[in-house]
Amino acid sequence: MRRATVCAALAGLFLLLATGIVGATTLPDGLFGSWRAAGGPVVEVTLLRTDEGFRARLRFGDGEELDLRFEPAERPEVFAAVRSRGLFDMFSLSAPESPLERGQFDWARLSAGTLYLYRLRIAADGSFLLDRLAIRREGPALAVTLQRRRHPRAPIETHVRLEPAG
Amino acid sequence: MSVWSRRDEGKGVVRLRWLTLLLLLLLSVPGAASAAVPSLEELFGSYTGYAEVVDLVTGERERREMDVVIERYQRRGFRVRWTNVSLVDGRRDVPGVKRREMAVAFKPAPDGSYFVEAPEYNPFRRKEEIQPLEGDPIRWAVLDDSGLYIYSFVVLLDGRYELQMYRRFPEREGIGLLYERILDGTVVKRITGYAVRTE
Repeated sequence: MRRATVCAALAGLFLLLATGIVGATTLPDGLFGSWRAAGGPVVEVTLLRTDEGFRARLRFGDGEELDLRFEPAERPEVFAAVRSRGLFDMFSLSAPESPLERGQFDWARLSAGTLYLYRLRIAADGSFLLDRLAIRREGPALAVTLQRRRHPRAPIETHVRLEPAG
Repeated sequence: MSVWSRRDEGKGVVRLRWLTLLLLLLLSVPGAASAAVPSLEELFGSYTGYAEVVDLVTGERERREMDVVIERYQRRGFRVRWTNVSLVDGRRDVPGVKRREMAVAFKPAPDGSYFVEAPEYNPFRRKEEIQPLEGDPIRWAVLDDSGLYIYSFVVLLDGRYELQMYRRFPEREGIGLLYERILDGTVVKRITGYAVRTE
């Protein structure tokens, strides 16, 4: 009887995982790699597989670099950025409670083969930067659309095609 | 005094007149001089007016009545209370009319340069971290030279975001309103309106 209950519970867990209710674990193979462009809003994208999810390294046209690790969130095909564990977290002191206090919040999602990376940055004066990067394969190349929204300006959308690096 | 110096003095007077005229012109052109940031106190008050709602996906338009109260909250924060009545054929006394009341309070951010949502006080609830990926909204407000902005940001179940922006700014004898609902980068709803300060 007890053995049957355990088997039923394991089968349920397997079904839960198989149907993706607890979230996709990683990205399609085609999105892993490294791509470069000579110019544009984004000039370098590297997507690497990690144990739990993936790592995204980006270099923007203005020289800014971003290096983020993502793990599956508790929603299907949604990924949460892994926060660096500082001293506050290690010793359970009063860690910043809100993304507003930390000034940043990053997440990602996958939809119909396109990876969307988001970053919200809130400056000390309350103004913000909200980036939405749509990344998808176009043959061997990588098509990236960046929509950048800043308080209180109208958003700017730019496109770039990156070729495989190396 | 030589002829040359008198001529120079005359030129100086003309130059001064031109400079005065230029200064007056600059001051009379809106935005030419740097606009001042309105104070919160300037916006405090009770207002009533109308707003035009445009659904940018379906193209539908709707007229609504709005009442807005902007008031002090605690010592240095503020609260906005507003009521919207969506009219049916321009009337509020026929079936189908919708009435919504909302309120949100803000307190100064730790460094005081903007405002964060003030959570309702509940002594029995443990202070918990805001989790945007679990549906918690992030709300903050900014006061700058173009008005008072309130932002409400939320990550939807499928990972897309929704950003709602309310801008209220001094206009004539009241306040102007601009609202935008942005769904994953696309503006899907826009509301513009004007409300006069009530006696």
